[in-house]
Amino acid sequence: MTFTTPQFLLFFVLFVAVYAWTPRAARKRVLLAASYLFYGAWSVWFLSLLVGTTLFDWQVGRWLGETTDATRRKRLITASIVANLSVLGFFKYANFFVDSSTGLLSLVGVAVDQHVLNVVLPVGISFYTFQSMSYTIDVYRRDLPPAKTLVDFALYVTFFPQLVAGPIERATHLLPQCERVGTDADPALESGFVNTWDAWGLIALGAFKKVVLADNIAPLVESAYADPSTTHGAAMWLGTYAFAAQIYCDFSGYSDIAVGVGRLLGFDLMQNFRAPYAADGPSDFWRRWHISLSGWLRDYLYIPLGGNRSGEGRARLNMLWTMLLGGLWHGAAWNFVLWGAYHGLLLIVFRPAALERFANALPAQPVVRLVRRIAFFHLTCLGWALFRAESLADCKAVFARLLFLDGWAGVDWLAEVERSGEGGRLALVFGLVVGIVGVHLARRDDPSAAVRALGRWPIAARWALAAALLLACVVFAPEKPPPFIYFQF
Amino acid sequence: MRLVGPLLLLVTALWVADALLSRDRTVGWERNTVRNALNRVHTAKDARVAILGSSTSADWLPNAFAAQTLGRKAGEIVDAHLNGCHQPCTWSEIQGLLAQGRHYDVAFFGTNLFQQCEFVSPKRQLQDEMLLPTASIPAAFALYARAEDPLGYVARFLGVKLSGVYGDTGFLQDEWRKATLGAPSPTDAWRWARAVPPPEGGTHDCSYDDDAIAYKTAVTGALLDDLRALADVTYLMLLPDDLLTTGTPAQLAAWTKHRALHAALAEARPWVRLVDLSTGLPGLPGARRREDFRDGVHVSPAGLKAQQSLFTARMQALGAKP
Repeated sequence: MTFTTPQFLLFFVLFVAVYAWTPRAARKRVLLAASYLFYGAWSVWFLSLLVGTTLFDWQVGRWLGETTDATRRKRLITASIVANLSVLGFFKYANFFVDSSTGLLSLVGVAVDQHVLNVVLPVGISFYTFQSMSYTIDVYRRDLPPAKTLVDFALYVTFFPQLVAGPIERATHLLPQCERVGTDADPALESGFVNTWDAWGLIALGAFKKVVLADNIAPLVESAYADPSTTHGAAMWLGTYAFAAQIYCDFSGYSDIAVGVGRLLGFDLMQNFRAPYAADGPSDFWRRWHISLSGWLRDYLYIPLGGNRSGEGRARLNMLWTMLLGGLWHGAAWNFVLWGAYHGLLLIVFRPAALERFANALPAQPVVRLVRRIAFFHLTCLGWALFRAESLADCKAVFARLLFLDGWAGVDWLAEVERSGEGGRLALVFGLVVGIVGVHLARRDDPSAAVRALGRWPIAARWALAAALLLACVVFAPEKPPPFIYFQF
Repeated sequence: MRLVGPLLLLVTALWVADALLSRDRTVGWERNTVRNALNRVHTAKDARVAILGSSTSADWLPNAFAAQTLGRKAGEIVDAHLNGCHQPCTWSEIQGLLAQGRHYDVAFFGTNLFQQCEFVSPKRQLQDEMLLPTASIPAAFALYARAEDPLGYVARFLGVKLSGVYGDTGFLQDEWRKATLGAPSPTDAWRWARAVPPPEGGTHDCSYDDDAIAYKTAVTGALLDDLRALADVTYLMLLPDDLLTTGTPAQLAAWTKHRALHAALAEARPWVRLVDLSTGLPGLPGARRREDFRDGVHVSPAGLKAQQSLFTARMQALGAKP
C-alpha cells in the first residue's frame, strides 16, 4: 500500500474518520493498530517480524534502564545489535552471500551445489531495523531513558507514515512525540486536522514529484539502462541525468508525503533532503541527501569506529568503511557496494587539506562556485550510474558508454533522435533535470524558503495550487506506476 | 469548518475542469463506447442469442455466421460485446441485463489467456463501474475479497466512481499525456537510446500471478452462475492467441492451467458447455499461428477462416444446431 495508490487514499480517509472520533485515551492504540494494518497489507508474516523486533528491543531497553552493571549493559547492547543485524542480514543478504560465495568458489575451480534460499525481502526492514537499533544504542549511551510503555515504543518503531522508507527517525526526536499522543500536549487534538495547509501542501508536492515527475521520467531511464551494451553514449548520459532527477523526485517525494501525513497527525518528522544537487563536495552532499541515513551512519558507525580522532589515515579508512556499509545498506548487490566505495573514495579525495587550500584559493566569484557545484553534480551522476546498473557487467558497459570508449557519434545520435520521434520528450526531460538542478542551486542555502513564501499566499490560492498538483497526479499518472525506488531497500 | 473550505475548493476545481473538458465531444470516448454498446443490447428486445465478452469474443463471430451455425435468423442474435470487456466487465453487464429482466435461449462468452491475468487498465475499471447496478455493488465487493488485495479493488472502484462524476480520467490521461509528452513512434521509438532494436516481446502477455488468477477465476465462476438465470444454455469459449505457437514454456504451462481451470468451471455447471478453440481437431488446427492474429489475440483474415471452421466443427460436435 504505497502513498500514491488509491488503496492508501482509502485507508487514510477511513483512518482519519476513525481517529478523529476516537477518545483521546485510545488514540495511541488506534494509531498503532492502523500502523500495523498499513504494514500488514504487504504481508501478515512480515508483520510478525516487525512485532518481534519491537518486543525484543523494548525488553532490551527495559533491562538497560534497570541495570548499572557495565558488563551486563554491554552484553545487552551487543545482543540487540547482533539480533537486529542477524535478522537484517538473513532477510536482506542471505541470497547475496550465497550467490557471491558460489561465484568465488567457481572462479577457483571448486564446483558448489548451490542451494538457493529464495528469501523474500520484507518491505522497509532496513529502515525499521536501523530505527529500532538506534533506540537501544541511545538508551545504552544514556542519551535517552527507556520508553515509558510498550505502546509508545511500538508506535515509535511502526509509525506508518515513515515506516517503510523513512526518514529514519531517532528515538530522542520521535519517541517523545509518540508519548504525547492523546495527552493535552498532542497538537493533533486541537489543531492537527484543521491547521492543514503545511501538511496538505507537502503531500500535494510530494505526490506531484513522485507521480508526475519521477514516474514519467522512469521509462526514459529504463530504455537507456535496459541493455547498456547497445546504448548510445549520449543516450547513456541523458538516461543518467534523468535517473538523477527520477531518484530525487521519487525519494524526496516519498519523504514529503511522509512528513505531510505526519503533520496531519500532529507529528514533526525530520527533514531528509536539502537541495542535494547544489552540493559543492561529497561531505556537503551527504549533509543534503538522505540526511536521516547519513546522520545515522555518522553517529552509530563512523564516530564509534573512531571518526577522525585517530589520525588522518584512520579517518579515511573509517570513511571508506562507513560508505561501503552505507552502500550495502541500500541493497544486496555488488553495484551498491561499488556505489558506496565510490562515495567513500570521493570523501577521501576531497578530504586532504591541500585540496581544501586549493578550493579556498579559487576566486570566490559566484560563477566559480557555480562551476564547482555543477562539476560535483556530474560526479554525483557517475555515482548514480553505478547505483542504477543492474549488475557488475552492466556497470562496466554503462561506464564504457559514459566515457565514450566506443567513440563519439553525437551527430549520428541526433539524427537517430529525430528518426525516433522522441526529441520533444527528451528535451522536456532534459529541461526538467536542468530545472531541478537550477532550483537547488538557487535555493541552496534555504530550500524551504519557497514553501514558506507559498504559505504567505492567500488561502484560496494555496488550496487552488494544491488542488492543481493533485489533479495533475490524476491526469498524468502512468497506467502502471512503478513503486517507490527506496521500497526495495 | 476550516477543513470544509479546502474540500469545497478541491471539488469546485474538479467541477470546473469537468465542465471545461466535457464540452469537447471527444472526451468520454470510453463512456460512450459503453453507452453505445448498451443501447445496441437494449434496443434488440427480440434477441434470443447474446454474444458477450470483448472484441476477441465477437469480431470473428458476426451475427449472420452465428445465426447460420445455430440455425436461427440473424435478427435473433444480439452482439452484446463491449470493447475490452473482460470477465469483471461482463459480469457487471450480466448483472444489468438480469436487473432488466432479460432472458436469452443461448449466451456466448469468450475468454482468452490474456484476460485471465490483466486487470489494471483504467478503461476496464471504468466499464465495471458504469455497468454495475447499484444493488450488485456488495456482490462485486465480495468478489474483490477473493483477491489478495481486496482494498485495492475497492479503492479503484470508488476512485472510478468519482472519476465518473468528474470526467473520464483514463481518457484524459491518454490524451493529455500524448499532448504534453508526445506520442512515441511505435516502431522507431527505441532509436534515440540504442543502436539495435530491442528483442520483440509478446504483444498480449502479462504475469500469471496468483492474485490475478484467483480473482479472475472467481469472477468467471460468478458470471457463469449468473448466466444460468440469463440464458438456457451458455457456451464458454476458450479463445486462442499466438502464444500457442510462439510462447515460452512458462506461457504454454499457463495455457495448460488455463484450459484445465475452465474445463473444471464448465464441468461443475451443467448449463455451461465448453467450446475449446485453443486446441485444434484432426485437419482443423484453428487460429494459433502468429500470422493468424493481427496483434496476438485478434484474428487476422487468415485466422478468421480457421477460427470459424473450428468453431463450426466444435458446435456441431456439441449438437448446437437443432
